[in-house]
Amino acid sequence: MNNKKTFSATKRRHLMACLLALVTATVMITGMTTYLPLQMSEQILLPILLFPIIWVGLFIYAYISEKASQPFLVMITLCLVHGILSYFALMQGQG
Amino acid sequence: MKSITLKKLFLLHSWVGVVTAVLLFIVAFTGALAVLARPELKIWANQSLQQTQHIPNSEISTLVNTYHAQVPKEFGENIHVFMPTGHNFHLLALVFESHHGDENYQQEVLRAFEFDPASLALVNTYYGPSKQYYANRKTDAASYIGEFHADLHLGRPIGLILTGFLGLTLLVSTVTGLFIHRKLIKELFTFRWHKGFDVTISDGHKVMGIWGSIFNIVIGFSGAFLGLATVILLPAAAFVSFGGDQDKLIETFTAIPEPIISYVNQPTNITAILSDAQQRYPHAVILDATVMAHNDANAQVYLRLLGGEAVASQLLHYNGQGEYITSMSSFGHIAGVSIKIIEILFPLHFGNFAGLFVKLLWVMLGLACALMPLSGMMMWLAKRTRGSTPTLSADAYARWNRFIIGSCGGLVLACCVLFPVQVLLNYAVAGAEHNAYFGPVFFYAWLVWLVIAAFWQNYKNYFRATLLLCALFLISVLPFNSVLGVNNVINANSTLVAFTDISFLIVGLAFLWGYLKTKPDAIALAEVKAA
Repeated sequence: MNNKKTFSATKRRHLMACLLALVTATVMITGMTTYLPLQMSEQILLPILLFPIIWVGLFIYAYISEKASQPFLVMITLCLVHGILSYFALMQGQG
Repeated sequence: MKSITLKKLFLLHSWVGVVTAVLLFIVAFTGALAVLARPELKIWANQSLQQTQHIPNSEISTLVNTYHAQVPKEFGENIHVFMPTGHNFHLLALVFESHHGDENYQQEVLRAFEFDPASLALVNTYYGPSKQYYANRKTDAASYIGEFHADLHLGRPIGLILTGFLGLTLLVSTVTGLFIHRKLIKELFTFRWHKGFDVTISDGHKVMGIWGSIFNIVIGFSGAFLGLATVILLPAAAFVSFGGDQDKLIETFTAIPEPIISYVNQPTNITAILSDAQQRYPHAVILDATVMAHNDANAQVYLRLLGGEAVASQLLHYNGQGEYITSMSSFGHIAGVSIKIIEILFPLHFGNFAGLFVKLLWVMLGLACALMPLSGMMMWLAKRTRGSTPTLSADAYARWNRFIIGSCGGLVLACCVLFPVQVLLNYAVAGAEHNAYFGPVFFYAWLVWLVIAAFWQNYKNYFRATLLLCALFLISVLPFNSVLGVNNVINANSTLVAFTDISFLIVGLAFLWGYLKTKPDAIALAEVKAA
């Protein structure tokens, strides 16, 4: 099977799957604790439980998407949104 | 599904499998052995646990009172009584903790007294930092393998992160495998063992993968959680809610809050508490008891139980007078569905929720999980040696095979070596001094066998030699134990020891059968028949 025909931008996909998917899944755990409409224990534990599913989903998506830019945009957006939510939650906590 | 997507999933499945194959075999194989480590193999390895005995509750209560009176006041904050069940401790251990140190230590410190379960004679004492006590407890062959499975003896967090990520990659391999092998029903029942080696390996890979898919998903998920929870997941979750303070997060969810000491003397009724727990859950095992504010009017006692009707371990809460207050999960009273799932992740991973039958099933599925990456790797390598323009030369193929046999077969051999060594150590070396031997024996046996791979040109003979050595080491357990062991097959003092020795013999004979079946003549004949 010819890899070059099957995948475009293989190196970028490797990088996204191995690194960006991990960063995104971790940042999402942090951010999800700010908006889940649940009690505190559930707010913290549910994202932890979802981590393996999120990571596996992002990892596979990094490879099977048609264009390499699609998973990149999705992961960066998720990172930014959850990062900003975490930042505001931290600032509120300090204030 | 589009054919290009299937192609991508197939490639992804191959890449993940090839990169993680050897490590996944190592973790899965040791995990399969670790299922039986506690308490079965731990009892086999420790003579003090081998005779079925029940320590009278009143004796435990007397020991707690006697030794509490002997330790300085600050050591009475928390008293732990660890029962000699083979789950954690091989002796009855009384541990008196001082969380804030004492005149000699500015850290958590403890005084421990360990007693023989049969005679209740004092065997060991310890005074020093808590971490050192728990880290240097006497280990045994099976526990060593179990600990290796958890963090590869690389320490924490590196080892935990590595095994956690292997759980994640197992999930990826299983999910992608299910997509690319879509003819699930047909492949569930297709195993052509007489159609040649390559076809047998390919069918075996699919059969093991599909039959074991749910198990692999459960193990991958729970393994990822257990590996990454304390090093990545909890700190990340605590980042916003607790300003990154993981200890505060754990403290918030802790099952055992500190009681307020009243300084009113009132004897803590440990005897009644233990008796009540045994009556309530007659089929469960009491692993340990935590006594807080001992002999104070506000004393609280928590018992940790495993087994019985409950799937997960449970915590029973009593007050000092012996009144039952409540039963809860080992994480305490936390509301919600997530904690229920986390609770059952542990027994699902360890296979210790429904007796020996489920444990043996977990061992078989664990071994199948270990063989999956190996069979996949062999298919991947064989594919590259075939066709008009093979990408892998015969020499490179042989080198790969030698590396796999050296690393994976070497690990199996190193595990097999530990069991006769355990019998020898029980005879010749006292107590916790055993700990110094397992690491060197295990890693040197593995390393030596891996180094030999570089020099042994004929990989088929190298594989046969691995089988033969594994067979010899396992078969030697029964005669060694018969001669050197206090409890053995001949005197049948302990059913578990006799059963375990015979099991080692049977597994050893299975290795020997494999050795004889892979004779060069037999392989050549099978290849001719297949052709």
